[in-house]
Amino acid sequence: MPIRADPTARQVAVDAASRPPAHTGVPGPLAVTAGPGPAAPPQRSAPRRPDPTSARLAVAAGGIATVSALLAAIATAAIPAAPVAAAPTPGSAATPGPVQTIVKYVYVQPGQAAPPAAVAAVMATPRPRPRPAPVVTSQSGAKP
Amino acid sequence: MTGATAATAVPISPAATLPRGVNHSRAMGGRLGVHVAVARDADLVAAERDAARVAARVRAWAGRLTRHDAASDLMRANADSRGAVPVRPTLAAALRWAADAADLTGGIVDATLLRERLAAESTALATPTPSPADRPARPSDPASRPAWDLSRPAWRLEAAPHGSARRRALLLRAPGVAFDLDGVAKGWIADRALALLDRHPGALVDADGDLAIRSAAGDAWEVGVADPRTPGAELAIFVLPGAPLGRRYGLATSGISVHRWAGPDGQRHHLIDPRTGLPAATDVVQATVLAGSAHAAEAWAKTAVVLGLVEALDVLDRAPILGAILLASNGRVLAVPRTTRWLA
Repeated sequence: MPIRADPTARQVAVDAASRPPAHTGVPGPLAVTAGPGPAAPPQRSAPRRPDPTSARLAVAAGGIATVSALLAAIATAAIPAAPVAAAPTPGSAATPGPVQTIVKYVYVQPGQAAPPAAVAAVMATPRPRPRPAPVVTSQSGAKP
Repeated sequence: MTGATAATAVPISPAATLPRGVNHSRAMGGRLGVHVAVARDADLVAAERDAARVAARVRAWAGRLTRHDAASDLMRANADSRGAVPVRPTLAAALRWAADAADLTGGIVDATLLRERLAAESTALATPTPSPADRPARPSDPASRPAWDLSRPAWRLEAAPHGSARRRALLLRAPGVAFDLDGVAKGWIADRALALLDRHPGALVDADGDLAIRSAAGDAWEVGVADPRTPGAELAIFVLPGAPLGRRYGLATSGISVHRWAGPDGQRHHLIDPRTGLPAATDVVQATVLAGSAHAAEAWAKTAVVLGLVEALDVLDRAPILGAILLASNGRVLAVPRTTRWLA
């Protein structure tokens, strides 16, 4: 088997007359055209390409799964986990693990809002005003 | 009872934008205030007239429902020994609300505790009343309390037989059932009175501390919560704004620091726990509830006091109310968190 030792490309001279007359482009140095030869060999039918539908469906399903996974991950990160009260069990204090604090009683100042999980807000007494509210709710029988 | 009317063209609180006409008088053993907000000063005369008319109606209704007058509709029904007693429309309507209040609060508001209340009051001694903080604290564990007596006698209202007076009803009850509407009537009367003032942009009826309120768009009512420990002091201040079509509120306060006395076995007060038939052993000195109506607010406020702090906060958190402020026997002031949006 001959071994080609020279890897450089070689220019091939092409006869201008052999170009088809309809060719109007400017051929490059390596342009090669087939000249009118003898009768064309009988056409072989093109090999049947595989049906792309199944491949496309697989790619689409994979894309949908990827997008869903990404959205789920984003949503999980955006919404904090709801506090869950763990029932105290004997010996649970010694069990290592995360401790979740449930806020039930909070101090609020006028204008502040308590967090949603709070059961009660411990209120600061409002400062005495020069003139009390014109209407007061009180226990029945209380002197205004 | 006489009324003194005062009309003013000047807004009477920083939150108010509309002028108010006010009628002050006494009713139901306490104060009665009918406030009317008008669109312009020229309407104040009509507002003053309507406020006085509504105050007179309130006194008439209260006269039919009081337990302090043997001639009232209520006390005549109580004294009637028949099992089926015809009652007039005002008493029938008040009793219907009493039945609804019992259903709403799981039976804590019970209008059939007159005998228990009279028994508690009969032990009153003419001795100085210590402060609530001197009393022993109530056990906070609900399981330590006695079980609720479910054998309480039943009662119901039925439509009066055909041919009787319009809107009359028939009160059917077991022997021994007697009614005390002190815990349900004031808020109900306040709501009823407020409905008579619909032609004005806004109004407020103060039935001895239980308030029915309607706020007009762009206007607001400012209401203080009395601190029972210091006369003139306030635990909080509500600002209740209006809405384009008007918005209704109810504010009511219940507590054990006013009607209280020393008994042979300790401190007594007027709020009876239906589970024991005795004055409630509670660590809530006072409860104020903001709701959509005065009658609902009154029922929930009384329930909060009777239940005690721990149970009250749990119940109020789930109740259809707008807010609540509780004064505990240790001096701490607690609020249901959603209350804060209504506070000044």
